Amino acid sequence: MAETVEKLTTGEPLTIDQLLEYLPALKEIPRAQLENWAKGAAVLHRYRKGEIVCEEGEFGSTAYYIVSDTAVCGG
Amino acid sequence: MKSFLTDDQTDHRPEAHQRKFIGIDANVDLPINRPLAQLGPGELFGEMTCRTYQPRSATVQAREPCVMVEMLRVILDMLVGNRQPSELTKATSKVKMPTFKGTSFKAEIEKKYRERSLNNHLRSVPLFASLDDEFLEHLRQRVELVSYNQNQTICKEGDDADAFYLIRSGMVRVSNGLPGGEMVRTYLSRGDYFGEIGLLRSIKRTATCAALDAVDVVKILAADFTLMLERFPAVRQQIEAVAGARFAADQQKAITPGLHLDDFLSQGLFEAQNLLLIDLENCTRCDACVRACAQAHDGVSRLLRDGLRYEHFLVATACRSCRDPLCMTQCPVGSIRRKENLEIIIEDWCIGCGKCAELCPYGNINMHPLEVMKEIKTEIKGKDGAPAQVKIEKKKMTAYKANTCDLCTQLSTPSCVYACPHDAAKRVDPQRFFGDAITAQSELIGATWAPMPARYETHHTH
Repeated sequence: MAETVEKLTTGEPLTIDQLLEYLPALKEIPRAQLENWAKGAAVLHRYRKGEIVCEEGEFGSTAYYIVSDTAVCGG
Repeated sequence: MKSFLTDDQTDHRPEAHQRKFIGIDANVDLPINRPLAQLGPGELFGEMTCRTYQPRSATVQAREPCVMVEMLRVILDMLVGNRQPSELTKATSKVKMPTFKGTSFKAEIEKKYRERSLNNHLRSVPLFASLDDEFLEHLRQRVELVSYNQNQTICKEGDDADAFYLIRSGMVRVSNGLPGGEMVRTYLSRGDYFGEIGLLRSIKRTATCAALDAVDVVKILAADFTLMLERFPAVRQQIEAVAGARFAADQQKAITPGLHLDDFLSQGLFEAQNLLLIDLENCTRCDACVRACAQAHDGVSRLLRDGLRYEHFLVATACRSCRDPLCMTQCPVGSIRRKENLEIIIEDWCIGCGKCAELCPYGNINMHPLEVMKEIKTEIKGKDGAPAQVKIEKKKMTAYKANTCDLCTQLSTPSCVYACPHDAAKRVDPQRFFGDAITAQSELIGATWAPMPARYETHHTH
């Protein structure tokens, strides 16, 4: 996984294969469904120390999954 | 708009800057230097907003450099399973919603989700403002988090009262069984609570509460509820006042209001936050509203002067700003979203796939054709080993973009309403607008009916 993370830049949409690498549980979903519905539906983000990911009260439509082994805090 | 990529000098591709975040309100109550929780790898957050389109309940800041996958609802649904769409949605939606049962990741995520977001929710409920941290922590460990599907009963009239319920999301129908059928008392939504009368007075349940759509509740067991009232008199006072008003209303003579309310429900009007109504008694069918809409939106009208009839009103084909906007659930590029708290907008990066238009149960999103110039590159192989040449042709092509009513938010009044020479067009909150009519009608026959509170308010007057 580390290699792929190194290669991708922030904001890059994930291919189905990359998505499966990060979220292996999605392998339980049939490939055809993934191809049909999940293409372009996930993006990789890198955040620097102290960067705000989302703020209380703001409207949104996405969820986040933490990939790397460094912690973030909700405050 | 705020981009978090501004000082990333290495990446200048336009798509890197596309997924921006929404304008930020300044009402951050919880300072960033008082962390609520620490999240680590393998954890998921933001899923409440992703599934319900309610505002973010907390600010998240990267403590160390980190990498995340940001996902749209469709991927979340795949991971943890989607909710059952309502019967109305199933009957009217043209696209067959894929059903995802969820993966093995579900149990893990649910556990973390419940552990973490509950504290925020409990803190955000006005009723619990006077609770101290210690008691909130006690509640956090003791309460149950329960989800219900549409039409599932949460508690039943005549049963023993064993818990108090706080609504996290969705709508709850409160009703009484009567010889002639079911009498709907009221509808409760996010932040509202129920089940207090039985506990306060040690009596059986006085009404049946059922899920009108997908409902999540916080269930506080009787023992903890009693302990809370003993320790926090302000909470007791508030709950008793509400229980008193509700109990008094229950004692009144009750007769089913009749067809009126059934239509209100079957047409899905309770789902809407804002309806464009045309009073057919005043409307002369002059179409000034349609022309005004076209003028305000590059010559393309986003409303149709046609649709369902309710009473003497025409519910025009224009976005209803649904509470649970189905149109947003499958957009592959995340270009359809709520701007502030009401209007649904479609951003410029719409790719014209048409999924939102197919999903809208009311046919309120139109796919509008646009003429675009597209470059077509063809490679011509060079003869006798000469290098290949690339021929670039510009060709006129038709692209599509989804259009929906933006409530003319830049203007003080929507163009259609402003343009109507007969005062026939109105933009209304159906709960309030028809609530009065239904209440008035009900009073005539001696029944009671109360409109549901607006989305982010909580009030309990009957």
